[in-house]
Amino acid sequence: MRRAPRSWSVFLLLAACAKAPPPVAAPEATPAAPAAPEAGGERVQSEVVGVVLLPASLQGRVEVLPAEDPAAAAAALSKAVKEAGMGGVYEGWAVRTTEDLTVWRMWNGPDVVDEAGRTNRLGGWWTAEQPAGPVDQYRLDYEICDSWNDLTWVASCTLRAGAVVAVGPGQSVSLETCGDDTPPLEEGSALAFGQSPEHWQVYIHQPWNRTEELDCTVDTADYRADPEELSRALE
Amino acid sequence: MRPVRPASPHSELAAQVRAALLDRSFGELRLFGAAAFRPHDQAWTLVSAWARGPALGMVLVPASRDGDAVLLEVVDPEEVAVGTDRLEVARAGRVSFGSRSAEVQPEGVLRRRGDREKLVIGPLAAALILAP
Repeated sequence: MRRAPRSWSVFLLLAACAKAPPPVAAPEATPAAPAAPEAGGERVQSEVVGVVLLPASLQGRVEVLPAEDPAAAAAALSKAVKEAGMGGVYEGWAVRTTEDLTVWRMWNGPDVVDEAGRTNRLGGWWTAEQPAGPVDQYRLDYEICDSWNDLTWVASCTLRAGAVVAVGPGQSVSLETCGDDTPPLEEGSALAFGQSPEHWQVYIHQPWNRTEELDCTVDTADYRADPEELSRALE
Repeated sequence: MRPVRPASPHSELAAQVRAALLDRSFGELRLFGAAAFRPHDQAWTLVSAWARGPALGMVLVPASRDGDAVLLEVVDPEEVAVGTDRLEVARAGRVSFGSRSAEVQPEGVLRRRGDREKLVIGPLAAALILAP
């Protein structure tokens, strides 16, 4: 059986509380949450209540934007937050970086290109933590199907202060969505990956259009990762 | 005037797709339920659509406009919904996107990616979903 995400208790030790609006949540995640009418494709909450537990990697580096803030639209929460089985995040917040923030992404390396002849170094999904630990655990933690990413290289880029992005904990991914050889989370399960409350993802909407906010032109810090310990470069 | 292309049972559908979705970008592309790439990790823009014989063909380019065009083809599409920002085909004999394809077999859906094959047995998901 593949290992399920760690418990919330570990996460809470790493988290900090910040006054924030309720998240935009996948429909089944918060069935009782009072929701105000939709506006501009994003759910709008009518009052600022509750707290958001930010992981350590984001503490003090971002401010959570109220859904009513026009700037929040740049986070494209409706793209990041997905229903169960679909990947993405299961609840999300629009945040603005208050300082330059290093974001990390695993990719297939410079020799692997897609149907369009491009590498996957640049894409929408990032983390605020350097990849670490075994690659199989990373794949589980960040819900990445086998065919989506080889997870062989690590790229790091800088999200400039003032950038607006979406953050949140990872949503589950079904075997059907993967449609490849990714094994089930456990025998008989329809899921390839479960929700991952303690592993937050950073969604940068259309990063190729945001070169002033995402400094990603220099790739000299990229490295081929040791699959046993992703923070280590292979010789 | 002679038609630009030979008639196809899907000519009208291709015209609908062009009218509604040309130059739209899509962050999600599913072939019989499977996401061809991690949803919203990449995005593709529709630049062309046509019908040829039993197939509806569409050309997508990276939304960043920095890559090659890729053919998305649906053979024998049925129950097609063309929205203002999405396309959904409930049933088809075969769908393909570049080197990936999925086709209906008696036992289920046979998926191919390059030289790899996988037969998936079970209820059929929508043959194609192209969503923003």
